[in-house]
Amino acid sequence: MTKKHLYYILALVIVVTAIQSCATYYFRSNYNDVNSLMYETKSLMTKPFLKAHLKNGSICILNDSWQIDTTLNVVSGNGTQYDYNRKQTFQGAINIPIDSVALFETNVKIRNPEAGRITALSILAGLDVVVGIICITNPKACFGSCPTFYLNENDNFHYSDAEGFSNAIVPSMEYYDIDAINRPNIKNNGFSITMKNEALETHCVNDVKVLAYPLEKGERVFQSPNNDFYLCQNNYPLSLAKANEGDITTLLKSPDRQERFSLSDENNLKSKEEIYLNFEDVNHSKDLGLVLHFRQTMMTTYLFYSAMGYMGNNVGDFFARLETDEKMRNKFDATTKDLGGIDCYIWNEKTNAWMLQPKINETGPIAINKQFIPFLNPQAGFKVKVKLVLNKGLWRLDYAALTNIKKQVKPIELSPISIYNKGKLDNKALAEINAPDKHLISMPGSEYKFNFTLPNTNSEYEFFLYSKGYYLEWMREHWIKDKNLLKLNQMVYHPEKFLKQEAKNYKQYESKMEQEFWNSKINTKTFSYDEN
Amino acid sequence: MKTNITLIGLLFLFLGSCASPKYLPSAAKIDVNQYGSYIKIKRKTDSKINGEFIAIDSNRIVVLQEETKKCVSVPISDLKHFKLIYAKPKHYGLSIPTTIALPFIHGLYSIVTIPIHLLVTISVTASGERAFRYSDKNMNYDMLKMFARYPQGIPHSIALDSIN
Repeated sequence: MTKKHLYYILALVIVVTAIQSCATYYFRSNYNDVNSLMYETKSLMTKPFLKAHLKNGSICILNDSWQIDTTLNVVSGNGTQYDYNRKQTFQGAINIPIDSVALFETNVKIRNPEAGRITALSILAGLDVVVGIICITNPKACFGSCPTFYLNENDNFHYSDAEGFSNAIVPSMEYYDIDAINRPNIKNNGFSITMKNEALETHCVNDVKVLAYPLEKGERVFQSPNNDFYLCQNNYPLSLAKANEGDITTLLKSPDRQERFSLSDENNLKSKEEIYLNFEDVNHSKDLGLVLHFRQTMMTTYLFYSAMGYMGNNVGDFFARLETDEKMRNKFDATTKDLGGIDCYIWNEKTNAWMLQPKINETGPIAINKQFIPFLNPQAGFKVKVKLVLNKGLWRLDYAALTNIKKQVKPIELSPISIYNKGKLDNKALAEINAPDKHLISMPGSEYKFNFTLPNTNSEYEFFLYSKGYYLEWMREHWIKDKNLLKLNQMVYHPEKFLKQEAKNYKQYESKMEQEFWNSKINTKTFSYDEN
Repeated sequence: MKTNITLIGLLFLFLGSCASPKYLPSAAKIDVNQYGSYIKIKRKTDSKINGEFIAIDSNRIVVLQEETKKCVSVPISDLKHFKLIYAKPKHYGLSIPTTIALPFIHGLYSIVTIPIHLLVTISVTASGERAFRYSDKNMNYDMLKMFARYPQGIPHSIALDSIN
């Protein structure tokens, strides 16, 4: 379902709704004399029922076989007579002297008065069924994952600033995650970050804090995949970027959410591609590093949900094993590990060879990660060539640039000073976040606002979000029918074979859902499952 | 969520307050109904009178009041607004709470489908409740007369307090 389709559906529903809500019926006619009654009703295809209001207050209601006898001056027919208090006094053949009638009344039948409303509800039901089928067929596209963090609490998941601990699907897999975030809105030394649970999951959050580092003019701090922090200066923008499809420079030149991504290989999900980045006018080629903004496509989410589905009604047993069996734990995400991260190489002019640099790997399709690869090999000259090797259809790249490292630094840690739970101060949540052995439990629909205070208002800072915890995915009833323990076994122990065999299935899902899902950027708040 | 439930509850209360009297016919049977339509009158003093519409002439409107089961006569000059219901509306209110289930069926798409659902179901419910009614905005007193129990006026032989 694309944005365009949504607009069409919305427009259709609004039009139908508007039409049905505007209907006003005029169906009744009164006649003071029998001549006008005869004249007005003779052209009607279907003779209406006739009400004769008598001068004494009684009423006779005749069915559609009534006749007027102008010779005898009577109206006759079969019907019912009621007195002035509308008690029935007679039923059967009635002859009414016209002289006794004060007024005749006819009514045109209102045909299908509910048609507009039923049409509107039918279209709505159709829409529900279509979206429901899409979600049952491709649950991975409809349900997100992990806690999402927002600098602007009114944003939805399309504009999430960070997502926490995406791989921690059981308590024993708990880990911390650090994500670079933009500068929050600082007022009176303070700022806030909102954490939302927008998925069918239970989030168990052990810690949330902000890492900040004060900056001088022209400085930035970047985080490496190993969570080291580098104070940097100078920015060398991209001169040329090329991928299989051709020139992609405009997509990667600025951090504008215009992302470069490819589609998966239809024969094998594990299939690599290369992207070449050229940088010119690099004035200081010493201590260089690559800044990369990226996130994943829905491929890893698809694989995770597939695994959940294959577990079927044994999901509890498998999660118990995951929790207690370290070997199983290490094997569980074998397919994701097999797909790999983003390998980075730089070109060495002297040896005419590509030199491997540290790799980038961060799970999660929602928030854009901003990471930094410090180059291991010194560069000479003003031109730098970089090669990225990555799995096809797995990564979305937004921005690439080079920068110079000044030094490695350690940011200060800011713990929340207060937490608001949907607008109300929640001291219990604060105590849970501050206690190392406790977890804040966040249920679907929950929103927690963490408030922080900066030590020095006069400085500019670089900000990073630290979150630690794990989450429990809710099993969906319709996944149980997907139970396939052989497939699960293949996923865990023969990931390469699985990735090859699953390629066509994913392709079908990818072509329908992937792009459309992300194209539907609707800045609308929000949904709520539960009250805390 | 609490707010949503409260809103839906309020809507049900509102719709409940619109419950129509038993003597009103269905839309299919308006041509064989022997009673007058149901009328709600607001007087210039802001007091309200609801009940079966008995008759109207150039000076007064007569209503068989719902609560007291007695006829009340109101001078036309004292009438501020009226609403007239001539058939039992269909109630679609139950379609609104189905919205609650959407996040579990549509997942993240419910961000889009919930507003559409609420828009349609509330609109359909409201228009269903308003379907078979007129008001002083779309009907004058001459046309209104046709929906009285006695469109010809109250016969001289009938005393007001004998009407029930």
